[in-house]
Amino acid sequence: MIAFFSQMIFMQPVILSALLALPVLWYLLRITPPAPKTIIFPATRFLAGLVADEQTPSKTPWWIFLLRLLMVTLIIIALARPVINPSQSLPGQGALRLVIDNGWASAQNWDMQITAAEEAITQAGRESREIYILPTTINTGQAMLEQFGPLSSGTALSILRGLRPNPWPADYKALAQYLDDTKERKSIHSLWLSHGLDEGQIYKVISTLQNQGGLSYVSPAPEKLPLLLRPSKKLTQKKNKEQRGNIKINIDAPDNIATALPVMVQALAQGENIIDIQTATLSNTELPKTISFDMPEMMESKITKFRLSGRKGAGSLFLLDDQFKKRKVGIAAPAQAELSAPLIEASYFIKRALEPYADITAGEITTLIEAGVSVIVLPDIAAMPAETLNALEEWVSAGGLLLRFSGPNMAELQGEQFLLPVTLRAGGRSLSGALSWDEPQTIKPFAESSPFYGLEIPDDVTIKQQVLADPDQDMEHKIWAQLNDGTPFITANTEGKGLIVLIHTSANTQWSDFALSGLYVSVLKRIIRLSGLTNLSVERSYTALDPLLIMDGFGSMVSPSASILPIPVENLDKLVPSRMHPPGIYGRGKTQYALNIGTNLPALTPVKNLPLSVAHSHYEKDYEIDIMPYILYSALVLFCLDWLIMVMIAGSSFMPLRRQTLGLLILCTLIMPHNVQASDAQDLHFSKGLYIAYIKTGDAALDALSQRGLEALSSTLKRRTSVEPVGVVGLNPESDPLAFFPFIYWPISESQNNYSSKAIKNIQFYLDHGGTILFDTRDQNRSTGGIANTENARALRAITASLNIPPIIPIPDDHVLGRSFYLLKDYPGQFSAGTLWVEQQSTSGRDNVSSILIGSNNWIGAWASTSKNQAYDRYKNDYDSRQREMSLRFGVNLMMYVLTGNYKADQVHIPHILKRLGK
Amino acid sequence: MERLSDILHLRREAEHHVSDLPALMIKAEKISANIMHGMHAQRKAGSGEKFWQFREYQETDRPQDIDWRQSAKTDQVLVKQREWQTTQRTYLWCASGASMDFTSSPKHYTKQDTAHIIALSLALLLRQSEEQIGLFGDLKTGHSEDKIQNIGQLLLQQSTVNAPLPDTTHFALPRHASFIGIGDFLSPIEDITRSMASVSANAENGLLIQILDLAELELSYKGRVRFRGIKDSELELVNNVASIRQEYKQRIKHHTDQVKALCHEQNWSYILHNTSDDIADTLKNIWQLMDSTQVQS
Repeated sequence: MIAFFSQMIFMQPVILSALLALPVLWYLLRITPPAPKTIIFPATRFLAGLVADEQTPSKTPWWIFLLRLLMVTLIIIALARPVINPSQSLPGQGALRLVIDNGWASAQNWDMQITAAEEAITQAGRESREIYILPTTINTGQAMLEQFGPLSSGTALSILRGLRPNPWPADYKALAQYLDDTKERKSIHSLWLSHGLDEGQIYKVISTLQNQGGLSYVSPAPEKLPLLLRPSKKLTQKKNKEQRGNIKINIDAPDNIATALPVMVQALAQGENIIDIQTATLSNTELPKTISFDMPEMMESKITKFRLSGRKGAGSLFLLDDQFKKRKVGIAAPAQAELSAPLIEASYFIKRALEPYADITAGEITTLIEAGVSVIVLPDIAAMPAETLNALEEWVSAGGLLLRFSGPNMAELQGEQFLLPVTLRAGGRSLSGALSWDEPQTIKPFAESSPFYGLEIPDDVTIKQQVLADPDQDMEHKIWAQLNDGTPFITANTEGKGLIVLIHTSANTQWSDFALSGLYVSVLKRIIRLSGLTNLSVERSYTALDPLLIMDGFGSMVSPSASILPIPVENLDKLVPSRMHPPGIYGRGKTQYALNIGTNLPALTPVKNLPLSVAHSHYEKDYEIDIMPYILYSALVLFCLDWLIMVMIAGSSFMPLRRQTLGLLILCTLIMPHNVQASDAQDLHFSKGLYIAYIKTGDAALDALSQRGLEALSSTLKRRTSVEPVGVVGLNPESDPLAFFPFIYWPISESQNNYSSKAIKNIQFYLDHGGTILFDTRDQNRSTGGIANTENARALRAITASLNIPPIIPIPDDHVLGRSFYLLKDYPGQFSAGTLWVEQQSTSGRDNVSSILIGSNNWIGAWASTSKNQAYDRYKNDYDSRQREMSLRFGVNLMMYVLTGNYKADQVHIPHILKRLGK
Repeated sequence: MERLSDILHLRREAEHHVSDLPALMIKAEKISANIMHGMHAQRKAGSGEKFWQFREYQETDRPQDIDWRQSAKTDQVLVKQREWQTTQRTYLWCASGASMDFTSSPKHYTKQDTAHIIALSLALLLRQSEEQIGLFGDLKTGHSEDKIQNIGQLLLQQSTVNAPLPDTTHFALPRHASFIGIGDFLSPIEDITRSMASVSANAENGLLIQILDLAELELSYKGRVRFRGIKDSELELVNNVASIRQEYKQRIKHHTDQVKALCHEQNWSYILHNTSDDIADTLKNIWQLMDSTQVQS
């Protein structure tokens, strides 16, 4: 194949050699004058003799030549079968190894990767080549990379369907190692279906693969390269006094990404509800791109994650944890303007340290309490009026967090001590000064029981003065941090439901340079994060955080498996997600920590400068375009044009002919070729109204039953609801497009057709793009609850085995299906005991509608029996009319559920529902 | 333009062209009222209504011709003689055949149609001035509505016959008749001369209307053209028409001039009509010509 443009090739390039004949054609056209027009002319007699004088040969105008040459050129080019976006042909010979990237970045192009892999496998199968499949990530629970093979194309396809992207980076280092270790004797050509990023050591892998028999590298096109959400340095920032926050998130991408790529970031609240959407245009000169969400603080605190719209996977999700929940912190200090020396006041330091992480108000204590702050900071306040003190005590007991700094005032305190975790010795201690022999002290590393465990202590932080505690019995439980000489540095104690924390030095630089260090910020941050937690205990182990919810490769949150390890706290800030620690929410008790792939991942490195010997291509676009018809069409238009010109030259006596030509020309314009399938018109007809569909099983009686049952349901819907189905359609997944139908009923039959992979793909596409299928095994009477081992169940398994179906669970009691129209407790059909299975967690973008519903209650039979037709009376026998009614109600609920999604899960209707439930 | 295939159609066309000429019609009426009355005094005794002379009764005279009042005034028996009057008879001739059946543009009438329209229009005009009209080849003349209708029918019937020039072998024009010949007269000038000579032997006066297409006058074609004449043998391939146009125009001019000269020789009138021109204009010209010739006579 000859590459013509980068994206266009000729399937039959040999034909292009005919272009060489064009000069000959030119010559022939030149020497043959156009046929003279013949005119009947009564006065011809008078022409006699005149003609001989005039012998200059007449010429065809040059532009007619050009037109004709162009025509011939076009025909030749068209015959060479030019194709845009050609499918890849399989490279190399002999065994084929598919190296499939399945790290976080692959999720965004997973479908393309899998399609490419499927094509390669199918073709390799046709050429009877051995197939190896080598994913590039190590799965949870595996110790090393695993290569599958040699495989036949059938097994390879099923292994391929089993492959999932993982939410952690691909391990090229392990890949290189693996390839070195397992040298195949024979040469294997490798086809690397990559995600387009260099995850370390890629060039080593490439050279190894080349040495083992050649490499073709396939990467996403520049506009499809993976994107990554990263935290903005300053995630939140107070913008103005109107209590509006400004949350920022960065989008990162490899720098060879297509320019002007539009992206959309969604801010999601609990339950996937979209709070806000921001759009931006990525450009490779300006990476990472910062997206700001400007919203009221109330909304801001509801955000649980950010999502890159239209992209799947861990990289396009950014989970937020408590860390990002801004707390209201009050500083008991006069407003800034009244400070005598604003830049060295304690309150200024506190404010600067906490500003990015908290909403800070400064003012009188009573004002702060009224404002509902969750943390009050007292910088070196040793005395206050009695009523203020009472209010403060009450506030702390009710669950507030009081953070106190000591200082000269506290050290010189003569009166009663209040709200302190420990009893202070009067006077304080000066470690450095004109009259002191002691050296300034440094801070001792934090103990494992300390909430600050894991924070690094800078060497240059020294404490010059502190207040000292009177030792008491519980002293060591109260100490969160110590100086190197063992004196307490930070102490804490509970007070009612609240917590009092005392830092034994000043909040400004008066007593120490603690306030100048980064540690100051980290310590304050961690203290503030403790606020709002009930049952605060001073003593707690922070050594490790357990996985709570884990992201899968496509970015869905799932329960963690046992092999996922807790994260040690000391690693927290530098941890890159791995198979041991996938991204997700980790926590213990009430502390939560979101582990995101974007937080600590090194810069995204594009794969550039591949060796010339590596065939590099992009994943094909959605389809290849055969442009032969278009070129032939243009040639036809030129031909008509030529004809028209000829007719015009040949004289005016051919008027009717010219009209025909014109008509033909218009006809040509009308039959402009396009790849419309003949059935499209009929299919489009389905888009004009709501059709309920069922799958034709090939069992005529069952298909008739389905038709009848759905017709009965459809008329019920029309009578009782605003859903007005236009009709009922039986579908064959092998050939019919399913996209027009929001809901498909699939009665399972033993004599079920076997479906080809094309049909399976069709069904999978339908499920992946918002469709819902209800599988009904209709055999509850023959099973013992659940989906048993009946014939129909086996038939169902045969179908679903090759479908990518998310985990399903028995329908929970509070499922929307039970209240989307009628309030239903169970979902009876002809039988009532069967369990209905739904997706555990619907994938994003489906509005929580399960793509799969599986049951065995033979609803279709029950629906059909409500119609007047006697033929279906046998479905009536074993139950009463109430059950028939309930089955119809289930049908109505089902359609409502499919059409309106989680609309009824909305809290708006809770009072009505509760009222009707009599609660 | 559609072909004139039936008499009603042709009549309508002719009437249309005539009616487009109210001035012409008025003139025609004036002529017939003041001058013509259909009478052409022969300046000798005859069966007219006008008094010519009294003369002595002769044996051969009928007794009822005696003018008793005049005889009573004199001794002689006088007979009143009236002037011999005859009505002008006009014979129309139309060329027909493949040569006439030509037009270079569908916007114009073929030469044949033009000839028919002019012929019938003239018939209509002449009838209004009480002329006796007939077709060349048929002695009978008349000025009734039937005659007009008959002329139209005959014109259409004859159009299939190939008759480039009047055929005098079977028909001789009566004496003192007028002759109006309409055709393209593209035949060799010798043939035309011969034919005209035999016609003009009897004709008191005559008029030739030569009808030619614009293309025949101007040779308005372009490029490489194969011209085919009426006879299959006439085939001329011209590679570039533009180059011979001037010479052709000279030749056709020469030919029409010859025809015109021939007419003048015989004291006939000549008019050249181009099919792209308005027929009414030509009719007006023809009428003026006829008027002058008739007044002279």
